[in-house]
Amino acid sequence: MHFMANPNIFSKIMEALIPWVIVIFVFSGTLGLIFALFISPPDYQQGDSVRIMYVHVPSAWMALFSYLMIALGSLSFLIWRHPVGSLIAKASAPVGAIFTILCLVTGMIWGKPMWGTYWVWDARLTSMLILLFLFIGYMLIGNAFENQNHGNKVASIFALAGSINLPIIKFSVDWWNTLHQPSIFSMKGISVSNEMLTPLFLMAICFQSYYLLILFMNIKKQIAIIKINNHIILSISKKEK
Amino acid sequence: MFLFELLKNEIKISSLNRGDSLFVAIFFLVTISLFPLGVGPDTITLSRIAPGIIWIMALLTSIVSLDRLLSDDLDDGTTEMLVSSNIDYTIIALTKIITHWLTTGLPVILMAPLLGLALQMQGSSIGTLIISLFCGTPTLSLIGTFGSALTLNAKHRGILIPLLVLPLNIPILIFGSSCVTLDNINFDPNGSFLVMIGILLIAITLCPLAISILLKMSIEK
Amino acid sequence: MSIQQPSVSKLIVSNLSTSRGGKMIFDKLSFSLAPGEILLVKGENGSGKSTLLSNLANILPPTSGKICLETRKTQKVRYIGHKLAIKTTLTVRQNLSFWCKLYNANNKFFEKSVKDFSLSHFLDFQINKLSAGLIKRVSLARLLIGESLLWILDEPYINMDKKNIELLNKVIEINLNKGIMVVIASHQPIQIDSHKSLDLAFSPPYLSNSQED
Repeated sequence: MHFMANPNIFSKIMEALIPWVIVIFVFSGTLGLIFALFISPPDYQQGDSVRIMYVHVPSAWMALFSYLMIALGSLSFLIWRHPVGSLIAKASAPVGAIFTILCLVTGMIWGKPMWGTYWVWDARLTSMLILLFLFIGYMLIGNAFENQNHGNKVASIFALAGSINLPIIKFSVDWWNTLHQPSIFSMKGISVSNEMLTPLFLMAICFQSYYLLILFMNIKKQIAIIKINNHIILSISKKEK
Repeated sequence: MFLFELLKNEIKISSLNRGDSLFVAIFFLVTISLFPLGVGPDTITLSRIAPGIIWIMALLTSIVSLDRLLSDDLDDGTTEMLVSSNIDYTIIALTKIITHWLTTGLPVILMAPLLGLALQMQGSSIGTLIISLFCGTPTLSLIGTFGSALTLNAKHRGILIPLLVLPLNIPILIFGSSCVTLDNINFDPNGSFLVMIGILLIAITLCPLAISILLKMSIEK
Repeated sequence: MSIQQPSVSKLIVSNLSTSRGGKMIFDKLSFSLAPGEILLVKGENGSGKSTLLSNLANILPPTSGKICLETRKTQKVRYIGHKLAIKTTLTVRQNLSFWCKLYNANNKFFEKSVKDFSLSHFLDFQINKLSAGLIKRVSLARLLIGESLLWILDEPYINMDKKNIELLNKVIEINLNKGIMVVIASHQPIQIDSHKSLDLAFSPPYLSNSQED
């Protein structure tokens, strides 16, 4: 059972961390929301609608961070055959996709008062949309094979290809955007003051701990499934003997 | 060199078997002629969106034959035979990439001038379009074959291949069509060409390797 | 180019183990095959016959153990598996000439192969117009194309009538006398004299040098 050796240590660390992560999540979330909704000042141009930034920006960061985790996990799985790498990569995908969707949706809601329309082919929104495609592709290809181990490997290769391509996509979309210059407004216009940085920072911590929490729960689920399957196989082979 | 023989056989099969090039040419022709019908025959509009249309269709054309590109050989045992005869996986991958380009990229390039004219493009822009297609379609074949290798033995390949391949090809679409757009407004498109060649070089170094690894994985599964 | 002496190119398999999907298929298998010898691999479905043959054909690397064959690099192994590696839209002639190029063989081999497997009437037929037994024969024609040393045949008798089986056995016997080594996986006994056999059904698998009785 050498496969379980590493995940075992990993799950012990995970179990120890989970209570702390929950505490940090609740604490930073409450504090962050209080700051974001009440204490921080409204923007002198955008008024209260700027407050959606405290959800929009951290979710964009976390979307990229999740993809980074998928890429790193896949790399460690492919090079060192580290099973935990594959577990982290697979568990990061749904959370990452949710963050990306959250970023897109808040971006759209924010875009209505700013640009007068829900969707603008702004460089950042467009890259985020493509990132969402990559997340979806990664999740689907991983589950498209009967042999789960094979699926993990193929998905890892796709994740790496995506991570090589992602900077190129980002570059091309930015370049495309300057070529076409679709809107007079751009999100770069907001100067973030110190009073805005505090809630932004708190919300980023909150999102990060939420990510970790979901990641850990997902990995626990996956390990449980593997254990159950191994148990079934073992009991069947015992019966056969 | 055996690569050449393999290629000859491959092209013979694809021309007999699937009529790939012909199918691709017809697909390209028919879909592009839909645009004026949908958008309207207005000359100015058409000539403005023509490079984008042709590039999008080049992208879509490159994925239509991907689902059988590698799986045919895997299913009928040809890949196993080649491997047991000491043919390297990389050679098999290269053959498939080149075949794909010859059967899809090349017909698209050959038909592009005609369709460019039909879409009211100017002579000089058509020249730029052809060069941009020459720089970009090989990358489409490399990434497309990679996508085909990813989905070997997968369920729902028909949906998976476009979902995996198209996002990865977005930079090529952007730089390819922008070459012509830039040229139209009398800007120098050389930068876009160089970026496309850069992407092609990255794809040439990585894709055959990745495809051969994936082929090996599907054989040894 | 030096001519490879048959005595050099013995097939030696030592301590071969292969597992697939975490399940051990066979463990510590050892046997050897000298030129002119034929090995029948027996066993039920799922006992690992095909896996062993894939190992020998260099398609599937074993988990551990060694397969020694001096002339691995020279394309002298002919593997015919369940999938016949025939392009069904090509004609018999086109398939054969592709193999000739694959194995660097000249026209002499082509004609010999056509003659021995009596394919001359069907040369310009498309494969998908032929019967299953005939297609099988076409795939077996690959054995005689180019110089070879080791034939690996996975269930060659499936889809074959009595006449075709006799034809194949004749070809095998003639070539055994020329010093070719043959490994056959089959769940039915073969009508070839003095073959070694390896039964994968027992664990640990053992090698018996039984004379045909």
